[in-house]
Amino acid sequence: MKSSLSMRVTAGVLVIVAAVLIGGGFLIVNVTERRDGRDAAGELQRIAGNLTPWVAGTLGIRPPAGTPGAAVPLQVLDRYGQPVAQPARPNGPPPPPIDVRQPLRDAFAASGDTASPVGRIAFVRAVDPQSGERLLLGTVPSGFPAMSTRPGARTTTIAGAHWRSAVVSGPAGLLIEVGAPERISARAASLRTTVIWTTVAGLVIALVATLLVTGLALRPLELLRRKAARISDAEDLGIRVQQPGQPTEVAALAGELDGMLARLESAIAAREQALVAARRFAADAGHELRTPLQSIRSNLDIARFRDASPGERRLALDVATQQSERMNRLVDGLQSLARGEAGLVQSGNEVDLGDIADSAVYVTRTRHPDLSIDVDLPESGPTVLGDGDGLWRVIENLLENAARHGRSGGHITMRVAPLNGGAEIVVDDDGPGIPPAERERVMRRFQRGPGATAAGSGLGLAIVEAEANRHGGRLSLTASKLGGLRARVSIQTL
Amino acid sequence: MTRARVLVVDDDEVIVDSLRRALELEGYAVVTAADGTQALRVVAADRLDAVVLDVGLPDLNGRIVTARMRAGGLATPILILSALDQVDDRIAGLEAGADDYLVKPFAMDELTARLRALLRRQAYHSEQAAGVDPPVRLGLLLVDCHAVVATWDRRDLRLTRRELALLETLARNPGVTLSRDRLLELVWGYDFAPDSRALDVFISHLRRKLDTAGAPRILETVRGVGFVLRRP
Repeated sequence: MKSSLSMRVTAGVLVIVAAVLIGGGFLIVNVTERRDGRDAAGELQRIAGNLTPWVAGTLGIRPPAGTPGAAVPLQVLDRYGQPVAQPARPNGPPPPPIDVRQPLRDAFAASGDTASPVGRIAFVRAVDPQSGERLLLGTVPSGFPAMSTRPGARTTTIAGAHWRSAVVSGPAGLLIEVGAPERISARAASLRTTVIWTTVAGLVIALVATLLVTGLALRPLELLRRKAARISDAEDLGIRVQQPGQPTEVAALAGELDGMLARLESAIAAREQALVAARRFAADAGHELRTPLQSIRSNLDIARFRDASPGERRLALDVATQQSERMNRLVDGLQSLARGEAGLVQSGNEVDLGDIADSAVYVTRTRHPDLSIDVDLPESGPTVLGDGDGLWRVIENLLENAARHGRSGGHITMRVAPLNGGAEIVVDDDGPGIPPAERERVMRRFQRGPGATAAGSGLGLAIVEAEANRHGGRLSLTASKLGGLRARVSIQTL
Repeated sequence: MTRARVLVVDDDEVIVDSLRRALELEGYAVVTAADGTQALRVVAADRLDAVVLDVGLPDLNGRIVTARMRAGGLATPILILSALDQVDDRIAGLEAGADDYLVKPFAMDELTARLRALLRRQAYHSEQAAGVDPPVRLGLLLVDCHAVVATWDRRDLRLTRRELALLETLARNPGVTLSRDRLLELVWGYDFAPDSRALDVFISHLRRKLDTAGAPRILETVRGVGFVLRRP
């Protein structure tokens, strides 16, 4: 079974409500039962107490002076006003009749109504321990135990019926007992039924209410889901799901979703952009490679031409060789660029940038023996974290660029110095330089500076920039004091 | 004098063929192999003076072929060929015992110039080793070219032949800064400046191995000049 949130909440609420109702009902029934027991005892004792003067009079016991019963002329009548048979008195005249109606009426008045915990008084009995005289009014149910000599209230069960009785002591040891059928269990039973029905009704109400409330409470979530579904339906990552008026929790969730969507959107946009760039790159590269390839092909054709003079043949082969070198540089450059654009250097080694520069200067001097290169390096370092091969390419390309675009037989200066925990590389040449308006453009690939020869790959500065970016740095071009271009690369320590 | 025998290993037929023709024009006897397994078979069966080995072979990579050749006792120069982006393979090849590398495409002159120099140097080293060349001792450093071993504090540095030759050259001139050109000439026999960073790679290997053996930093770069081995 799928567990829905509202089902869970409802089940939880039902369990709690049921526990409360059942527990509460049980408590109420219990407490009522006990209180009824106490009430029943009190009621019976009160009735018995009310009857005491009359019983005492009947049995010839003089009540203490000042008791209201003493002055009352008594005739024993039953509760319906009929004279009650007097127990035989062996000596003396029969006592005056006692009217028991009033006390009995009094006795029964409070009993038997629905609010009372006891039913109608069934019997009254008394015993005078001194004379051994007994009195019985009404009917004692058969099987009812003999009268107790200890005052107090008790419960008796005879054939499944509950009886309540109370014994009180009157003057001169007189004991009076009043008995009545008990009503407590009946009342408790009816109370229990009420509690059960209340519980059932409560549960049903709780069920319906909880379903309604959870439905209402979860409605913002459902709205959120629908909104999110629209994103995939419409394939539009620009849709945002957070809205004013959402409850805090839903707003937080929506906020997270929106953040995720934004990241996804920008990642996809970046990928799209990279794809477009890669396509353009491939197209550009193809075009750039085809040019030297065409030249090689043409020159090889010339060399093979039957009528070509040895001098022409020689020239054609020389040009073909040159063009193949140019192509080679292009491919090298493209590979470097592909590496450089591969993304940030994640974990670098400790690289001594000075040593790298030293090695690159040596290579450049070897390639361009006519140039004079002034090198300003600290005695050791600066040390940076990075990709040694990529950093070598940065410096080599800067020097190569200065050598190619500077004055032939000219002068280059290079300085490598620590900078803010990273390093900077500055290369100056004394060539014609690049006008400010052109500087941005020449950093792009396949873009050559004004007056550049076709021999360059047009990739040098693009490679430098890509590698610098990869190392968290940047390339900037300015005018050099030497008259040419100043290229400055900053390298961040990763 | 008999013609020097060179083994050319490359899986590209066109390249093998053009290299063979060019080297034969230069006066070498050329043996060819199309993959690493075949190359190892030739090395085991034939007497060779030099090996030209492509690092990107279809079956075994250049590092494994080089290592197996060296393990089999081959002492001849091994020159590896690689594409520009095969940096790791190239460095692994040098570490496994190759002597130098060339990045494809290269000018044929470049290849023949290096081969000539390496073969000349090889002959020179063999003569020196045949004579009694005393081991060099510098503090805890001992370089014994005759026994082909170098140790720091009696711990073997596990150098390849070319690393050993480089360390020996530096150790015979303690405190003297040797220029890159001079080192290339003394160790490789190059009287030209090769367009490769092999020297830097070997220097960094030596530094690492000395460091691993617990030596202080005695192999220093003197910027703008070359390298020097300080007396420890």
